[in-house]
Amino acid sequence: MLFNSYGFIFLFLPVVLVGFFQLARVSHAFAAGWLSAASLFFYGYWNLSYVGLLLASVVFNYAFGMWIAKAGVKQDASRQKRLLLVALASNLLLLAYYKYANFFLGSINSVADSHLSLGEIILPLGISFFTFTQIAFLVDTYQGKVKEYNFIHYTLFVTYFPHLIAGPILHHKEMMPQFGHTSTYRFNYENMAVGLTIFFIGLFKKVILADGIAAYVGPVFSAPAAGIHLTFIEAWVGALSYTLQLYFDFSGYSDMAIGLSRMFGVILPLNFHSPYKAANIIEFWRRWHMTLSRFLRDYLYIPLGGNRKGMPRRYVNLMATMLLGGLWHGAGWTFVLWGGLHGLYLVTNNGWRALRRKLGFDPDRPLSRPMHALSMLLTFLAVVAAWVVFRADNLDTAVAVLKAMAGMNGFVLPYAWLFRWGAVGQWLSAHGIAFGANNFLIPLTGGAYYWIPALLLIVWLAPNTQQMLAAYKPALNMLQDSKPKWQQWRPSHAWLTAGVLCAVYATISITKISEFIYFQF
Amino acid sequence: MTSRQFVIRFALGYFLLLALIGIFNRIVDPAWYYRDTEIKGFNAVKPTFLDFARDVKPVLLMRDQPEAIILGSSYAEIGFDPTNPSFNDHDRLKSMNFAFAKALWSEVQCDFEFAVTHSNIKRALVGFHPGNLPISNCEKDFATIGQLNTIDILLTYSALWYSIETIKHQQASSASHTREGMFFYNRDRNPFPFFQEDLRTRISECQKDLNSSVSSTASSTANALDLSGLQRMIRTAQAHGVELVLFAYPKHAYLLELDKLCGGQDAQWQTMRRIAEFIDSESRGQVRAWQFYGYNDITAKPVSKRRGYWQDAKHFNFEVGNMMLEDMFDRTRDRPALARPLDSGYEDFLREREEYLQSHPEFGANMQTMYDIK
Repeated sequence: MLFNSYGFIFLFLPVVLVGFFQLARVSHAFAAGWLSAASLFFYGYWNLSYVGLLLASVVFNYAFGMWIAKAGVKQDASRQKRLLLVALASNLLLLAYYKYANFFLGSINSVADSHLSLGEIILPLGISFFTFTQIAFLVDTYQGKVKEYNFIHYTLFVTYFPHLIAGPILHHKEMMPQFGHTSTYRFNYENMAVGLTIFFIGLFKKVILADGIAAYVGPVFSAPAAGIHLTFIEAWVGALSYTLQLYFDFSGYSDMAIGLSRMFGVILPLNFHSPYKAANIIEFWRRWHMTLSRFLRDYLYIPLGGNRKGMPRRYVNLMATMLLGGLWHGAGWTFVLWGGLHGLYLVTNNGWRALRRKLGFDPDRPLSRPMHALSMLLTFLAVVAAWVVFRADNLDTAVAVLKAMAGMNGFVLPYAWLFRWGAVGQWLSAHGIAFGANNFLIPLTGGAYYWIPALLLIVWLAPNTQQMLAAYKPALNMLQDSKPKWQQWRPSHAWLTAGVLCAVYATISITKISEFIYFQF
Repeated sequence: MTSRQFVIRFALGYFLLLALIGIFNRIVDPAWYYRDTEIKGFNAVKPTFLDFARDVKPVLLMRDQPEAIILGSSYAEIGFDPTNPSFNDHDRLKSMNFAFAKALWSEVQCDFEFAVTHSNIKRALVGFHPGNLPISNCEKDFATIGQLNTIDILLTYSALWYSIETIKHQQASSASHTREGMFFYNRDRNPFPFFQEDLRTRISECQKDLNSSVSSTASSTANALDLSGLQRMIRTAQAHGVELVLFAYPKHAYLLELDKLCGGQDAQWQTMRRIAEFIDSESRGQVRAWQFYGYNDITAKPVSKRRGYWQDAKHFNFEVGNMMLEDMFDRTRDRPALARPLDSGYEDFLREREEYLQSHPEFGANMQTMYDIK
């Protein structure tokens, strides 16, 4: 079931909300059980056969968590370690089978010219998310950080439908206590007002903005495979369109998840904080998919040694973390390369900071406005280039699009612009700028010339959802970032009118099944 | 404003606005699905039905239960008015144009099967292009035909946009279809450029055909025709007691002339003859099949810039369609005005051509000068 569907908005959500708060009057356990059951229904609506897998994963990890904890109480460290290793290996094997088995076999086949195959394996939705969530639980249990072992709360923490399929990646220590609070089970109008607002902002981002620009992505990225040489403009239109589609799709999903959860009185962690406003790549990763960054830092980068073992080792750890982070997104070399690119960016960024420090400059000193804008632009361009690799079906396509973006196929402008630009067009033409017929893409990408600047303005100049609702603590781990009062949401007639209009516009724009991009990860 | 007031007003405003949009779309009815509120100057003319036809026509068929239907592609959808008295037996049969623009033979076949299984069809007129008429798997089509989601026509932004367009374009000439499903297409536009495009396309195809000596290919195609789809259609019609009438889509004489110049026309006639023989043997003479190729005042009428018999070299207007329907269904006629049996001889056609060109010496000059064909 999709958040952006009539069935979810008009049926599932109201029924689950009413059921939750009515049952909460009788028993909090019933209400939590109801929410777990509804979450399993939500998951099973996609593919009933994988509900068993999800439940088995929950029971298995909960049981191992309990055994690890008991071994800890008995101070049996070796048993504790053995149990942890078995549990971790089982989780990773499950993920490896469903997500990576065919990728690895395919890679072996291409190297060894063999024909190994496991047949078609359907990737269970959200497997990367619920596996990572539970790995964190197991590791924290081992380290003695887990305080609560209520099975219903644990099941709800893993299966909770707002985050189940595409995150945020929750941490038990920020979720399970909330399921224990009495206030969570009491209907609260403020939660509902904030939740509704955030949910519909997210729906608007997904349905109007992300789906609106999505049409300009596919033709560009499928052109190289069809033997079409992209022009400079076409390649940039495709790359920027995808950059913006992914941004609004994922931040839209994250907003909807946060909004939905808030309606139930549960606050989710922040997952997005205007990542394209980042002035360097380190900052980008503190703003993009923040819960994944946190997971990779806490459960991969730091256990690998983090920055505690000298600079070279730190850079190796960074590269390893980002390569695995790339692989987490999907079983394909393009994802690995994307992770590698970001690893390289991070190493360069950290190296630059170290060099500045060595030369006596403070790398944390705020930049001047022009320098900040320049840094932001540079970071953005690096991110765009990496998204091309991320989106491309294969490395050949990625190289073809990047080459065109670099102007290696020429700087031909669409012929229609020669006339549209009047004297300017004539002047450019006279000075050697080529205008050529562009029959393949221009009819498709015409609208992109308006969409891209408009969406870039929103990305760079508009406040984000959390900033707008900062006064109501919309998410955990909020970053302090004050905005002018007129940009701050409050229950008022102006915000009500804007909210209703946006909500209605987004709702009537749900015309087709449009999955979130992050569902595939 | 308190949070409580905000939530209540938000919910009220949201549902009220959605309800208003739904009611507005329901009244304007741009998809012409409900058909119960038609106010002149407001929504009586449906300029956007074209975009809904594929989804709405099957639902209308199930609801209205027509007995006489026309099937095919845009040629049939544009060319035939199903209220023609000869076709609907002077209103004794409830009739509908169930043809769809751009429909391929595979879709026409599935549309036919859908129609006979969802309505009490007694008569069906089906258009086709002479050539292979293979069987198609209709399972996929049946999964979607007639599945109209009312939310799509009431509660979507596009429905709202179509409603506004409907209100904005209430001139009679803006209508896209008649109530019974006939499509107007470019009826009120100057046919000149459309003719020009068709003829130029044919010349370009012709050059390719000549290079690949299509004549022999077409001839061999005639011997190896796949008519399994036609067979199924005939058997389905017989099983459901449907009077099935088939016809090959006509062309303007300018296009026939180009066909002849390009070669392969004789093979086309052989194909039609093979199809006719097949129909005859398969239906034991129960299914009639016609073609309308010829040189006469209708098919060879010079093109003017005003509305005439043809919208382009292939799409005929319903005035021509009416004559065709009368030829095919008016049993009181001694001899048809335009129609020939599908198995008629190529020599007769050539003789008619010779006679026409002799009596109309301006034909060739018109063709060359009007369409810039050198």
